[in-house]
Amino acid sequence: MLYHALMWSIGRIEQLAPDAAAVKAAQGVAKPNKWTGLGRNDAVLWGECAGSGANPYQVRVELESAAGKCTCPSRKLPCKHVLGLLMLMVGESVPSGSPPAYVQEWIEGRAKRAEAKVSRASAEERPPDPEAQARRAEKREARVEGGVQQLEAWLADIVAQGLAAVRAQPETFWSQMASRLVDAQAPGLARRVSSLSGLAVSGEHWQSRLLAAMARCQLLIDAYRRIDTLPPGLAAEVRTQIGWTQPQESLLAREGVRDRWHVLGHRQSQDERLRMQSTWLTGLASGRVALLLDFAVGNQPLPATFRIGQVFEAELIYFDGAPLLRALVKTRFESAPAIHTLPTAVDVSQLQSQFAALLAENPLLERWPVVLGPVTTLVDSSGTVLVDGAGRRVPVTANFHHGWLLAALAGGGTVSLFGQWDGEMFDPVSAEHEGRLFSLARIGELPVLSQVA
Amino acid sequence: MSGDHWSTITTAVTLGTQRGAPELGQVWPSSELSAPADQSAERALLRAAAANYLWQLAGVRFAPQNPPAIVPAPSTESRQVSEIAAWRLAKMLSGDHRELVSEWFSLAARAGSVLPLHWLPVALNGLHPGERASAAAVLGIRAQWLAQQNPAWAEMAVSTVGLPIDRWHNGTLPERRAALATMRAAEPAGALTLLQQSWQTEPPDVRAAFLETLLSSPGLSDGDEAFLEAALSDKRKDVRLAAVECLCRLPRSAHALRNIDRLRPLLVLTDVEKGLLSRFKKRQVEITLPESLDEQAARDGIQAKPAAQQRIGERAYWLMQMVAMAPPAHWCERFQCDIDAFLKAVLATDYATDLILALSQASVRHAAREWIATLSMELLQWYGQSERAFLASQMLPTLISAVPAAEQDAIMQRLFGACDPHQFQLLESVLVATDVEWSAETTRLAFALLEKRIQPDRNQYTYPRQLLERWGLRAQTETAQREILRLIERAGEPSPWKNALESLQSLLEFRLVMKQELLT
Repeated sequence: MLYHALMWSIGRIEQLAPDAAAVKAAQGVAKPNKWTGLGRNDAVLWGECAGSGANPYQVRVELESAAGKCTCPSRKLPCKHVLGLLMLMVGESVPSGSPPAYVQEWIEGRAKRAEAKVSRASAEERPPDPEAQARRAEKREARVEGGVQQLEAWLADIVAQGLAAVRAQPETFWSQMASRLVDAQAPGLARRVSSLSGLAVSGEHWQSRLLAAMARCQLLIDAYRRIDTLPPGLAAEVRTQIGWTQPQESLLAREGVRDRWHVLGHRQSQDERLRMQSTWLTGLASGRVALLLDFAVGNQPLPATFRIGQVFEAELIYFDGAPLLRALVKTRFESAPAIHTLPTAVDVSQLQSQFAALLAENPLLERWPVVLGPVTTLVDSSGTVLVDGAGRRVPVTANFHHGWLLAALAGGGTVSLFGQWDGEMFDPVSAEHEGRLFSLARIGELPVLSQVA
Repeated sequence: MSGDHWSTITTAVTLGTQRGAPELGQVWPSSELSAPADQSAERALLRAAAANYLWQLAGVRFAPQNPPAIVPAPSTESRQVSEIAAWRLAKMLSGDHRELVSEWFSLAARAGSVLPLHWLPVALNGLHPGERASAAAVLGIRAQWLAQQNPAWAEMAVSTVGLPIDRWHNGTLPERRAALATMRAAEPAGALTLLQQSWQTEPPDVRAAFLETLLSSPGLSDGDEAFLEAALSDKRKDVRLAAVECLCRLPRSAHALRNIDRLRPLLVLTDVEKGLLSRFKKRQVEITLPESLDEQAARDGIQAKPAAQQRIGERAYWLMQMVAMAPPAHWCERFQCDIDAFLKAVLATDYATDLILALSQASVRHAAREWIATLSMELLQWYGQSERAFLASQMLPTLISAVPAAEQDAIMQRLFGACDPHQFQLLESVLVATDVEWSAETTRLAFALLEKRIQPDRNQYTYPRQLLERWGLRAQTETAQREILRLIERAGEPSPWKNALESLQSLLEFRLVMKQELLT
């Protein structure tokens, strides 16, 4: 099979689907007898599928980016035909061939559009009206300042009344403050406030957790007040945490970090409207870590560009912050053979020292990606604990359900884990055992360890 | 978070500064740190909390503890199920074609594969307790290791670990029954002695359950007769009936001989007449109904009254029960005839229906294979007849499931060959009764039958989709896959048949892929 086609599996196709119904529908479509003119080459996959309309739908998919197009009227993206076509390919029912005209046109169209986008981005940008822009920016600063003041007064009020008193408050007590902060154009603060309501009812030691989160809000407010005195990286971090975004166009104009990047972990999460995909990378030459974030609203698909273990040459641009973590792919070059091991791991003592050093750089740091190992997994009714070679123990996050799976995988031995450390708990994302790499995946609600092939 | 300062602050903030604030100078983690004097108590507390929080987060180091003692999992040489096959199992366990889970395990066992360690928890959590034993070969010894780590899976280990004798003495009822079956297979007489030791003290339900175990497991022999004969006097009816079932199957037992003696004057096949016209005269069955039921007959398990819904006289009912206990071979021996001749004579009597059912029951009890083959063809004829169709649909599955799997298929082939489309509907129950995969030939015949049925039913949707899906669970996948394409084409465009056939097709495809994943 060709290289890009190899990167596909049923699991990845399911990840790409907007919902479970689409997967089911796609399975119905993924039958060779429903298709004509099936074919693929190294980069693209195509075929015509008989539907309810008079003409068959023309379906094409670009393999590397998973971008697809179909002439069917479905509003789901990607539609069942695109998914079905990919399933056929995974089932090895699509022969190699050269693309027909409609595919060729689409490829050329895409190349043109991509070029246009790049030239738009790289063209010297002259703001249409610098004065208006400055006015807007000033207005936002003023609004945020108002929001910060409200939040500070609100926090102080809670401390005056006592946590015990606000615990009895309804959910709206927290959500109203969060919406005021959204209105004040400080979405980062709004997110922090929304998360407080959950902590207030989080069981034993809730006071401690709620107080810590409120204290961190205060720290952020104080940092924002003194932003002019902070080093530039930390200042950018503070602005990001308050809720300013860094425009990707201007970031893309910068010089990036070129390296061979190894994908260590991958995770999707969802809040009310937004689905977020995190992909963690490490540079094979530089040893740096990077986090790529993708967002999708509603039924929009998340790009299925990366797979755990994959290695590719690329130029990455870091967002401003301290320490640098979030990044963008500026240019992607060729892929290299996948690596099914995790990079050098730290033990618990190194994990703690390393995190302390990072806190010194940025006291607002919430979590940091790291490879921990080798560790033994201990599971009991109270949760999962990881034990390193020296016998030091760290707990994993409370909503972790893969404990028994890891214990079984290790078979009484040890594993290495890639995950996020927040100073108190470890949140595993992927695991390595004896040269085999596993992602901590789910089938519906069912936690599974899926070996990366 | 811990520490004196932290708890001082937490307490103060929980109660609220309106109720009093702590000494603000005393709550900072280090004397070098303190808040400016001009701030409010609330802000000062929050800032001190932040400082303490970071102080601890950055400063605390976990102390080493004794490393945990975990026994390493036993290593295995067995071939492992592929990742993609295991992934499919997990999806099945979470609801996608859940009914095929047992087939998945039997295919994996056939391939001699075991489940990789990291999939074991998924299987142990997802399997029903009853399925675990049959999956044991694929779960492997490492599942027992895992069960020792997690109490929730402990029952996994209990049912297979230890000696049967220990489980017999200490186990739950299902475990004791399993232990009894194991011991009977190894040493029938020894197991019987064990059973007799505790027999008097077992509760009645348990006694009946153990007799059922004797019946269903290998090892039943004349050596058990004395014990069973004694059980005929048990206080509990369930126990007595279970003992009768066992004794029925011992043709040399006193119980069986008493039954034959009772039958001798009641059912007689006339002799072959000598002379010129003999070839035109058929042998006939002459029936005399028993006059009364004596005490011994009642003790031997002949019920006095038929169930309310059974349309049969009392005396005829007694006779049928006796026929149903006697080994069918008895008739051929006694009257020097073959099965067909005897059945022909039986069918000519007024009691044809009841006698055929009684003989069927006897054939099931004595696993009389030739009789089952012949009787099932007779029962097939009942399918077109409204009043007997129901009786046949109940008896035929029982008959077929009484012979070994390989012979079931042969019987079904004969049935399918002889069946015409209007008998089709009731034949379905037979298909569903067997739990083995059909042979290629049976599958082909079944689909040929289905094809005939589709033609007249073009506009009528009488076969529920589930029923075809149950076909799909038994059919030999490769053959069925070929047949179904032709059928779908035949079904015509806007037909409900087509929908049902397509969903049957996707089930077959699922099974086919599952098989490929496990066997190649």
